Amino acid sequence: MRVGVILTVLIAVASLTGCHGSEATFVLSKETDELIREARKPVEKAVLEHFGTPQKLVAWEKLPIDYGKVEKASADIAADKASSEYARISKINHYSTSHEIPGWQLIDGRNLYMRHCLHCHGVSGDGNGPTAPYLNPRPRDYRRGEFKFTSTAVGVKARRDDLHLVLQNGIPGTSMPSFALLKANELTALVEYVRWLAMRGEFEKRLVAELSSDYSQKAVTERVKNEKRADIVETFNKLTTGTKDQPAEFAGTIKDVGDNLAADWLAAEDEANLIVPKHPRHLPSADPQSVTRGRALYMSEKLKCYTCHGLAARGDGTSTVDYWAIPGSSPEKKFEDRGLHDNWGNAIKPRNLTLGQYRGGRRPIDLYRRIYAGIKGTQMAGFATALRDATDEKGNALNDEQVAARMDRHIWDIVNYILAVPYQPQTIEPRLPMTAQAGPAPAAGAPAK
Amino acid sequence: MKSMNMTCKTGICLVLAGMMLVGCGLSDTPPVSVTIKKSDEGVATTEVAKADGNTGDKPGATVAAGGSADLVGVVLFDGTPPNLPPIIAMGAEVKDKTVCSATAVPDESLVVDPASKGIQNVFVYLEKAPAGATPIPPPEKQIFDQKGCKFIPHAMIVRTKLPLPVLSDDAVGHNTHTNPVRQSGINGAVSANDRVGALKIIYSKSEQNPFSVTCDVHTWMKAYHLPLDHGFAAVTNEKGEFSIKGLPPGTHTLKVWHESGNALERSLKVTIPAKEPLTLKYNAAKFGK
Ligand code: HEC
Ligand code: HEC
Repeated sequence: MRVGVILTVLIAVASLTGCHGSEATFVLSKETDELIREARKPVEKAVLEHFGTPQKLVAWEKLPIDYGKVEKASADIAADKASSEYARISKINHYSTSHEIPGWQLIDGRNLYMRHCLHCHGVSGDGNGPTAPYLNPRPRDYRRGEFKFTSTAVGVKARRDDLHLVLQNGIPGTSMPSFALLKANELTALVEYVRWLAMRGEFEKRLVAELSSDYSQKAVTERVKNEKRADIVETFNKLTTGTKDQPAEFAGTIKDVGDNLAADWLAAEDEANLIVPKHPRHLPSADPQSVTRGRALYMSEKLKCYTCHGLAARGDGTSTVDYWAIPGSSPEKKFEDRGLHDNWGNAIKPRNLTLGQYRGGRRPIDLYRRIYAGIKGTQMAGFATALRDATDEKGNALNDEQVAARMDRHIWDIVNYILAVPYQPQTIEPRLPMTAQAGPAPAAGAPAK
Repeated sequence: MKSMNMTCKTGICLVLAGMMLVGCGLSDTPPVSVTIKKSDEGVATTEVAKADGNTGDKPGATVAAGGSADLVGVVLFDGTPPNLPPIIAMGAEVKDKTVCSATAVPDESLVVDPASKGIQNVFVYLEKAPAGATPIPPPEKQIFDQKGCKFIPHAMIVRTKLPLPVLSDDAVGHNTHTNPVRQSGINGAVSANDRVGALKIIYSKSEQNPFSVTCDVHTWMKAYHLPLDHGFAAVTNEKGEFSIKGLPPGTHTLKVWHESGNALERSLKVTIPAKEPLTLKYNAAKFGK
């Protein structure tokens, strides 16, 4: 009897988890689905043409991805080798041996991803794997091309090194595990594959964005009040097929979107966009006032860390009870629940700093970068621009070098403060006016409409 | 685990589990291939268009030798304009009360001049510079400011590749959070009373439509930016008037956009030189008010 039950369960599980490797498919984004059928088709086609399927990958050379080049000597061999032969090798989980096929690293990355990441991040990197609904926070949806914990300036994408760090350390306090046990070349392949999925997703997203204001189902429903649907479709079709005197505009759009994507991801690797402090950290042991100065900055009017992180740094500032607008919504819509949400629409909380757990890395340099450029895709802004003093305490003008030096000192003071919070309870005792945060303050945001 | 062992006396479970593992690891893995795709296969289109001197605007935009004209017009509200109460009343209990509710913060989601019924903050623009037009030089400087926890201006066309310093005339900290579509947004802090603008926004690409800019410290603060790589665009003034300068003769396609109504016109054809000023009228339903 018991055996029977277990058998049934096992079979059910087997058919669910079921090694459906052969059926893995990339799903279309919600925004693509919201286009009218006629407009959805060319988007689907373009994404397929430039990225392929999980089984038949396409390596688009325009994108700054290291797909795995073939060494010169073996390039000739590669020409003869059918890709299916590689597949036979990859079948026995022999991940990183055959480097004789151009694009081998993409295949390595794909296979490793399917094995280690898919159940959380999903085949398409949409953060919607089978385990995802049970996780809080939810696994990252890569398709916005946006990552939270970067070492790059405000407005710049993640570097390869940032993704490496996430794979090395995992994300403490979340279900994102560390993959430090994988080999270095495996991590490299994974990083490239995650970047590829991110670019694939953002390619689709940006293509759709070009069309949605005129050809989403919502827009067309609106438009048919004044225009014939057939005319709308005809105008759209001209975009993709072109006319006698005009080339197909959509082909140009595909090119532009690709060029822009490539440029954005290249910029992330540009040294000029890497945040490097010019001045080393001063240790609180050598500068006992540093933590106090850090606390003062935390409570200051120009930075206002306390409005989100709270007076006692427990992550419970007044911003967590405000109603927030959905970013980019137009006409404006508000989230139904109170508190902060990230660009993915997931509810987020300002970090409770008394726990000493940092998702983007615990090294002082990681925290420096968090303060300098913020947490991308969230309301935690980059603060460097607010820490560039125009004058010193006596009102004397400062030159660029002095401004940079003072900014570094300010940021390191904040870092020293953050690192002291979990261990020195006195550091969170509000010595600044309690009035800075008036009671429970439900009225802090825009009034609910 | 323990109960499983106990009920698995027959060993069937083990066999089954074994089958599952084998199934996953070996026989079922599909062949994976990769095809290299060249950067731009068969898409020289935009380049060709540009080489012809045709930047992609509709072919109807015929170019006459020399001469250009301005397009002037007005956007009007059709009906009785709504009377929107301020989002923050004077003296209201809000964050940074002494600065933010020292004066009322108006609701700028639909600003109509009661006398002329002109609608302010409407974007009227060409998506691309018209073929053959004399380029309009970029403004000497462009500035985005804030005072009384309100962005100034509320709606603005920003020239691409030109820094846009973000200033503040408030004694409290702000941040500026942009939500563009064709490029990454930024979220940078602005220090109290920063009259220089340590934070500089640079948009590298034109956008198709305006997008919102917000402050995460004061959640009601909102503005709209439209980055363009040309100057054939305008935002309506308090009387709803606009003027786009230096358009070459011919037919042009206008877009008209407002934050509450969004696409008021997707492709409005206008002929230059125009016989009379353009008058556009929209009723409350267009703005969801
Ligand atoms: C058990 C679930 C789980 C698995 C397995 C998993 N992740 Fe994650 N991952 C997460 C969660 C949850 C987050 C989001 C954490 C957060 O928002 O702070 C995340 C975030 C990330 C991020 C975003 C980092 C950033 O800066 O935004 C990357 C990149 C990432 N994972 C890559 C991977 C890769 C590659 C693998 C496989 C080698 C993997 N993950 C496996 C759960 C998982
Ligand atoms: C507008 C709200 C807001 C303000 C203001 C703000 N933060 Fe944050 N902060 C957040 C949110 C939200 C997170 C968590 C983001 C996430 O992981 O999704 C966060 C995370 C953090 C983290 C954790 C980083 C990590 O790696 O886990 C630190 C440290 C931090 N903030 C410090 C500060 C300091 C110092 C200031 C002031 C200079 C500040 N914050 C201002 C919202 C804010």
